[in-house]
Amino acid sequence: MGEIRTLRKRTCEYEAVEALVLGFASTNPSCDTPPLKKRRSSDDHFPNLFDALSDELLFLILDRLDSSPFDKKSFSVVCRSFYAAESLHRRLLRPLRSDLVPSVLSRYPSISHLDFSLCPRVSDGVLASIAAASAGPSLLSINLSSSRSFSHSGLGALAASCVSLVEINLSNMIDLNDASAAAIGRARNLEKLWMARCKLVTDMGIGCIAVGCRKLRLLCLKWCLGLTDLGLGLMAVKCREVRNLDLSFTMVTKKCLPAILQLPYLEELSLVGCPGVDDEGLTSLKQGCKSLEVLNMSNCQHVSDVGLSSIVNDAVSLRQLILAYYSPVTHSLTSSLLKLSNLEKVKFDGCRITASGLLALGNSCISLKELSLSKCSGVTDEGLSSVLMKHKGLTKLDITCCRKITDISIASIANSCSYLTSLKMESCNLVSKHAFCMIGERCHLLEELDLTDNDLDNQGLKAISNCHRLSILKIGLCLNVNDEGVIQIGKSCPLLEELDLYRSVGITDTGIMAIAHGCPSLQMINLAYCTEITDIALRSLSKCSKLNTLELRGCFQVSNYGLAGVALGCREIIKLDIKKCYHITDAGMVSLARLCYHLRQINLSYSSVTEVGLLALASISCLQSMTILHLSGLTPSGLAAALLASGGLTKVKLHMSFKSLIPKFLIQHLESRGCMLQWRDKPFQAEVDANEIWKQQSQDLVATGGF
Amino acid sequence: MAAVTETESVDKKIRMMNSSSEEVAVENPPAINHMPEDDSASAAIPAGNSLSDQVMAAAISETGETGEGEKKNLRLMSSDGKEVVVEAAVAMKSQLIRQMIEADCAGESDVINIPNVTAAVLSLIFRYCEKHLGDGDGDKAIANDLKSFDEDFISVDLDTLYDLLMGSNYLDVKGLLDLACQKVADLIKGKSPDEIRRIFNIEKDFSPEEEEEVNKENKWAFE
Repeated sequence: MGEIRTLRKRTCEYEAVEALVLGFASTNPSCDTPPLKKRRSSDDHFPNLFDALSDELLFLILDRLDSSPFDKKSFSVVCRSFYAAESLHRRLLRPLRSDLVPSVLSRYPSISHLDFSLCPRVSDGVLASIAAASAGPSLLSINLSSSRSFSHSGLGALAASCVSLVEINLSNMIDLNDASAAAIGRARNLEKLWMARCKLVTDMGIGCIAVGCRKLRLLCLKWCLGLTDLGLGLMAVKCREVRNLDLSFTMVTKKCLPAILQLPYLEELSLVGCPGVDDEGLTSLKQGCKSLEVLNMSNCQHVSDVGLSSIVNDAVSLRQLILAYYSPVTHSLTSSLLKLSNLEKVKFDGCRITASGLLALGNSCISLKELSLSKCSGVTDEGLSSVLMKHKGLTKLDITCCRKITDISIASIANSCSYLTSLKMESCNLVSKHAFCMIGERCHLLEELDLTDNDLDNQGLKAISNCHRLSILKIGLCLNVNDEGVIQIGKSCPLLEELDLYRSVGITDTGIMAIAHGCPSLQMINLAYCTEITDIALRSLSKCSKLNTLELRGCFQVSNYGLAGVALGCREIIKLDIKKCYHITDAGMVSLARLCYHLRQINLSYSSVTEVGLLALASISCLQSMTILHLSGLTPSGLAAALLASGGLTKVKLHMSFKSLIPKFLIQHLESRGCMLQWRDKPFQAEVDANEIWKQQSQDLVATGGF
Repeated sequence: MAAVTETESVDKKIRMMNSSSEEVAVENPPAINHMPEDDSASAAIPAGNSLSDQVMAAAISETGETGEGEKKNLRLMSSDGKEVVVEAAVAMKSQLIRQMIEADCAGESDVINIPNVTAAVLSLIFRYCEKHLGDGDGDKAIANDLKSFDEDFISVDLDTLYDLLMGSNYLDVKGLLDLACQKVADLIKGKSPDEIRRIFNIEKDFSPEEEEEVNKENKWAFE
């Protein structure tokens, strides 16, 4: 145990492991980049001009290096004056290891935002060191939503010393109690507080916050099941500045609703899934809330159009109304929206909507810009067309899984909605392949298009390539699309950032090469189960230097050679899935470890990686999540060593069979470090499913309603 | 005539770096003129000096000005002792000069001392200012034109970039300062510390141990 503790404490040990395994002493990336342009030789007598720049100018330059953390880090190592300027300039710090925070804080005296979202464990001692640091009094925000293991004493120290604190995120602190809430109550200047899932906090705790934090503007109490009307009512009386209030999944009832709706500045209110909110309570409201702009009452089982109309009655400012998974959307409900002249966005996701309800929607809202009918049953061609005819200014439309609509609806979209920037229509199975040509010909402003699981073919895709502003295109499971269509996208859509080709079996290296060549801004590409893909496609993707998410699951032809290309060109990779890429071995991991410092999440299941590869990955300091099922070459001791060395891991999925083979104390140690081990018992499944079989299976599931 | 040669060399430098369209602009810098300094001209030229009057007249005739009162010119004394004559509206894009004029620190006939910027750099900066005289008109075509002008304008060698950075900062020409800082940032993006040192000719003043320490902290302590 003693050995383990020291290992986790010091960075030099991480380095030692890395050096040992990889056999390279320097972590400097320069070795792989070609030399840049040389200065003219006559300049040699003007040395060191730039390191004498004033801090003021260096700050202006640093302001422009915000896009990648890597750039600021390189900047700080250049010379002493750059180091000093970067230290004074940095405002946001996102620590990787909370035990190193005290020393880092002494380097960065001007930090105003601390984000611990990469640290699963933050102790009271760390919080106390922040309170004592010179940056303490000027700290504006702290995010502890992914961290555990601190208590009221740490929070108390923060609240007492960090007098400027305006934002605290304590969401997911399921063991946060009233004592901690009382400590928060001493942060008098607090304006934004997130406490989602703090289930132990009671009315006493929220009372302390209500009395102490009078300046609160945003308060999120989602899932705070310990609260009742008493505490919420007190909050509504005391915190008169609240603009944004989330009471979703709480026990709020009609008793405190009047007080909440009388908050003079309330703009956003979420009451998702509140069982205590019902028609009776809402109809008894004497007045609605005139300042309300956004209302989310999704999943409120006991509210119908009667209750809704009384809450929106006076809400003349309402801009957004979200009623997902709500009671049936009827004529009287949509008619009650008639008066809301400012309404811009309506979401009825997952609702049953009647034909007359849709018709009334067409007549009610004046300036609708966004409409979501995703997974609504009851959406017909007639109903949808009537809505679209009236709302020609629509910019976003979501008709995912509206399975009754046909080409008629698509024709009205094409004819009416020429301002559309986003169209999502996954699994609209009655729409024929000819319909997509209409979209491509008429909706030129589209930036986001989701056609997953549709009858799209190359002809349609070529028409869609007319949308030159396209940045997100999802055409997974469109089995009739092949290289011919994709090449056209590569030629015509230079702004493409996301491309989903999930199970597009017709795509080969040629199609991907066209994308890599024509879409330099590409950030995400999903090639899962595109079984024709080989290393040639991967090498071409190395041109896309902004790529951060790469899905290669089931692309069984790719190897280390292709992966090395990606690692070399795409240094910003964050998420990588190479499950069932059988030819990828430890050498592939070594190239990742040497070049991709930003890697956060990797799936290696069924690959040929062993503990050598896993140990190599341990040198990637921000690696958080790893899925390592069915690695045939992995030994228990090797796995133990790799897990121990990867200090930043927060989630590991691994096979059940290892559970009894790894020492218990090691598992305890990993868990105490904040790493969640998820044991899986999935049977070994060597072959990649043939796409046709998979498609048939999924359709059977839909037919039987099991999907 | 050493000074003239120096000015020419700066122009050549720009010509070397820029596209051919830029060359024309350099050869005909409108509304801006260097005063050719000869051996007899002392560093501080008295106001009303006949030579400078000539230069002003030349500047006016070159830009095709007819009416004398229509556009006022300012006379600036650069750090290298050369007088630069420039249209007032162009010079006033510099907040420093604007403030000096508005605070009446400099009368119309006075020569304004700019002790930190050479004549060559001044003329470059004023070229930027003149192009940006109509900033904020909001015309899309003009904005695109300015963008490509800026791109060409800032494609200079490092010494000139440094001079523009220092000069625009001193004269307080915000648009140019932003442009120069962005250029430096773009040169840094995606580079390793060694590459940055090489590009900017910066000497490493960390000991190997110190550098190692900073590298380690950068890697393991925070994102």
